[in-house]
Amino acid sequence: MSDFQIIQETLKQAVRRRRRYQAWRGLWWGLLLGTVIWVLLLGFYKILPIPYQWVAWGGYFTGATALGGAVLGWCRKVTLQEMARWVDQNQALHERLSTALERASSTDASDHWSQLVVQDAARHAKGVDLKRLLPLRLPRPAQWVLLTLVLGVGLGFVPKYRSEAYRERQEQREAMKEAGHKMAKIIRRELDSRSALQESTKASMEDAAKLGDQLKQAKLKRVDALKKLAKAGDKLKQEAKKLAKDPALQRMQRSARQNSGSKASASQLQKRMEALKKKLGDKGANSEQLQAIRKKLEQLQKAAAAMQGNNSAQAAQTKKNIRQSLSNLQSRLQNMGQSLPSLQAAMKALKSSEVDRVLSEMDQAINDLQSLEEMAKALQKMQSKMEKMGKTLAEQLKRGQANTAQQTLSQMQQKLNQGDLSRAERKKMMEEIKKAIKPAGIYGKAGKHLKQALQQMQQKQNSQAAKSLAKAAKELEKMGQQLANMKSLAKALQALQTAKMCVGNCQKWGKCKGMAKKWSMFSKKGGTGVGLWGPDAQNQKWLKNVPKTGNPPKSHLNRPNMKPRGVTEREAKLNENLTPSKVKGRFSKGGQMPSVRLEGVSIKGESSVDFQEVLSKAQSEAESALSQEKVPQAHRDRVRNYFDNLK
Amino acid sequence: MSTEEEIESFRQSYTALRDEVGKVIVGHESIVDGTLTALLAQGHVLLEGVPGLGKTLLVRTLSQALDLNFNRIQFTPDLMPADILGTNIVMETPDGGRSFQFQKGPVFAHLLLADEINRATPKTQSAMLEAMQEHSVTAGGEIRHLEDPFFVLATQNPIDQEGTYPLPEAQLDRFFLKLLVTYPSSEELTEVLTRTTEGKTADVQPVLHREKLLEMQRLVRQVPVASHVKDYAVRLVLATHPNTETAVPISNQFLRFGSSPRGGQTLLLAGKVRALTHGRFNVSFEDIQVVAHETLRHRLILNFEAEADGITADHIIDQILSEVPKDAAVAAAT
Repeated sequence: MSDFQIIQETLKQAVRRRRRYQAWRGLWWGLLLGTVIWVLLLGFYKILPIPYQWVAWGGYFTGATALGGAVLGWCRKVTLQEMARWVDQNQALHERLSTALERASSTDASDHWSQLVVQDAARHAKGVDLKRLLPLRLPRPAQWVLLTLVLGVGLGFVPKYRSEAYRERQEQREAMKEAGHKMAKIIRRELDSRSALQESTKASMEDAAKLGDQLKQAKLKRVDALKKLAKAGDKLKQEAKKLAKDPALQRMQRSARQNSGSKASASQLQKRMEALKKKLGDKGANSEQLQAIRKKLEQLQKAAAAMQGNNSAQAAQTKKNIRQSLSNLQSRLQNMGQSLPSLQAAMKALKSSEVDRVLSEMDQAINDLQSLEEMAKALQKMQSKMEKMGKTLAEQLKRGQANTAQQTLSQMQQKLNQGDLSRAERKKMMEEIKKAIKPAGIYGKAGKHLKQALQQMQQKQNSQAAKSLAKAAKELEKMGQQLANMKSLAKALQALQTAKMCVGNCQKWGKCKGMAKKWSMFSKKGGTGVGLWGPDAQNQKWLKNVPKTGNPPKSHLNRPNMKPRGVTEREAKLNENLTPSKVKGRFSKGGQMPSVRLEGVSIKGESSVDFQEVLSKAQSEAESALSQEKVPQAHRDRVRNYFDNLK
Repeated sequence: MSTEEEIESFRQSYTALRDEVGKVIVGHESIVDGTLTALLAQGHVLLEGVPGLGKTLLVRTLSQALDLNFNRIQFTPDLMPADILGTNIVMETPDGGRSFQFQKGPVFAHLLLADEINRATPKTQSAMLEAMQEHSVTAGGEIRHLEDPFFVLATQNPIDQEGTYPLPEAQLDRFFLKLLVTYPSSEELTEVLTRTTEGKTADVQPVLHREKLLEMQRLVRQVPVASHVKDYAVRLVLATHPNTETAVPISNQFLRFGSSPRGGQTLLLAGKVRALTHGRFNVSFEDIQVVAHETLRHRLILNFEAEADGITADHIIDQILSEVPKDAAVAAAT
């Protein structure tokens, strides 16, 4: 290797190392820049209401600047001449390398002086220790990075300052986000679970779900959000009203409400009842009798326990009485068709004066009696349900028991298909169908199909009749689906109400869920109204006497329906004034006023509802009314001030 | 002889010459080095110092060590140019006739000591300075060349200014270096006293003859200078030019005029000599920096503000050296 090549090779190595070093330094400088910005953002976050995402982005930016610094450092190219000068300067080579490089590449390269210079430079180049010259140790910015990070960690422990107004805004935002999220989730779940929704209902629910998404983004103002919620609620209510007009659905809903908690059909109920009867015996032990026997037995058990360790004459008499009573109980049970072996065993033990055994056997007997009592109660309940259940198809349809009616129709269909109907049975079936035609009229085309089935049966076309019955059953099934759709709609409305409450009161979903008024599809009851715009305001004569000063009504006015009641000792019969009253009002044609329903614990003498609960409900409704511009312009500020003062 | 051998010989000769001068001159290493640098770079030296510091002794010793013709002129206000250059005088010819013959003045020497040069009138000074620059004298309408090497060592006294004629700036510029002779340290003074009061006289032997000196002077000019080093010298010179783009702030504040291009030449030549004496084959930044004060201090013309504030040319050069980056490219890269 020539002298010049030695110089070149040394310089090339130095260039490579220098670029690595530049990248390393660039990394730390970038990191320093990023951490400084991050700490500044953190500092700002502590004192200013900037979103936390800025701090997070500051963190990402730190990574980016570090990477960018490293890349920039690596990309900055260094020529051999520059490197030679740099090495000369840092290794105190007295410009040997740079002069040699310059002379070697000039026209004087072959002269003696140039060779001397190159030789001298090569000799010195061999002694250049690049690792010492460009060590890959932590550069100076690293200390500053560490210091900045320590500062950042320290700042992390500093509590952030936020003004009251800002916190309120944040709470509003959070409440809106949560309400939007939950509302959208509930409505979408309902949408997904119902496939046969009407187009308009589906569109309204989808709109409501989209509104939920909008709320989730928390970009709406509170007033706008309430307006939109109210609007969406109105839309859904319109849909619900349309559905609620259907008398068949009304009946089905009523029936469903009555039979809530049990979905068993009549035949299933019958089977269960028979099983219970079998267990309770032929003579039909009823729960009251069993309860009386159990209580008597418990008294006897106490008496027997008191007898323990007592051998007096009185004890002997007690023993005799207990035995007599047990015997009576045994005979009463036998009359009911029941026998308790444990009672028999207790009597035997009493005879042999084994009090402990007597007590344990009596314990067993009490348990057995309890079981029998529960069975008797269940039987009674089933019997009562069975009574409510329609016996015939007509009754079932009248009572809105569409499921049961469907089952009845299926049974009829089966019998018709089997073709082994006796004349009497056939006549009976035709009679049943005939009676059911009228009540089935409200269940879509069910009435028509039943009529058709009857005609076909009259013409002895059993298979055709079975098909018509199947169609009628199908129609009933459709009605069932519609009822389910209505339930979904009700759930959506309920979610909307809760969201409105959350947004209006800046509260969590969980808290509002219980407070929001339950939406009932078929309920015709209105609320009691809030404020003066409530109770048929236009028809109130006293309102006409209010001087038009622009001020709110004064307390000196005699308002006949708002007499102060105060805390009164309630009589057994409620005072007329304390009777809950329903007040309806209209702001505009077609619109219904908002209402608040409050439920308190009713204790004689005092009845209370938590003040905050009343306030939040009333305020929510008031906000909603204000947002929908249902409150006259002149009264809006006063309504707001009123609720603010209450707080 | 190869270049490498020539360089080695240069170093040996230089060291020998220095050692020889050192036999007589105590301390003043920088003055000796400066004087030898100017000698090898074919320049002249202006020595400034109070009387009694050994300026004349230095020159005399140097002449002894160099084996060259030596003349000394004591400049006085009544000294005429002809007293320095020589004059045509009427001479009797062997045939009884009379003719004008040029009688050479003391300037016709290899080594000339111009003692207290600022005591002569400007007319005399300019006659001297023409010889220094052109290496020739004009007398009786005839140009007479001075034999190489021609080396002038002028001295001037910074105190006792009455009756003196300060050298004009243009004439100062002709000097290669301006060396400030300072007081000796206590050890040096003790040594001086010992040597001069105990009757021992150093025997200075000539170690460098004329041909060798000329050869060394030629060698100096061959030393290569890298472009960035030349650029540094240029930037240093330009930095002294007040109210220009290249000027440093201190130049704008305290300088009336900066260095001439001759300042740049002297920087490089002096740097070359220093490189050779230090056994290197090229000039480095350090060489330029070391010689900057001696080569530039007499070329900077201070303004009134500098004189009022007591700022010297050396202060300004120090500041320029610290402000002008040695290598602009490296400075930008790091």
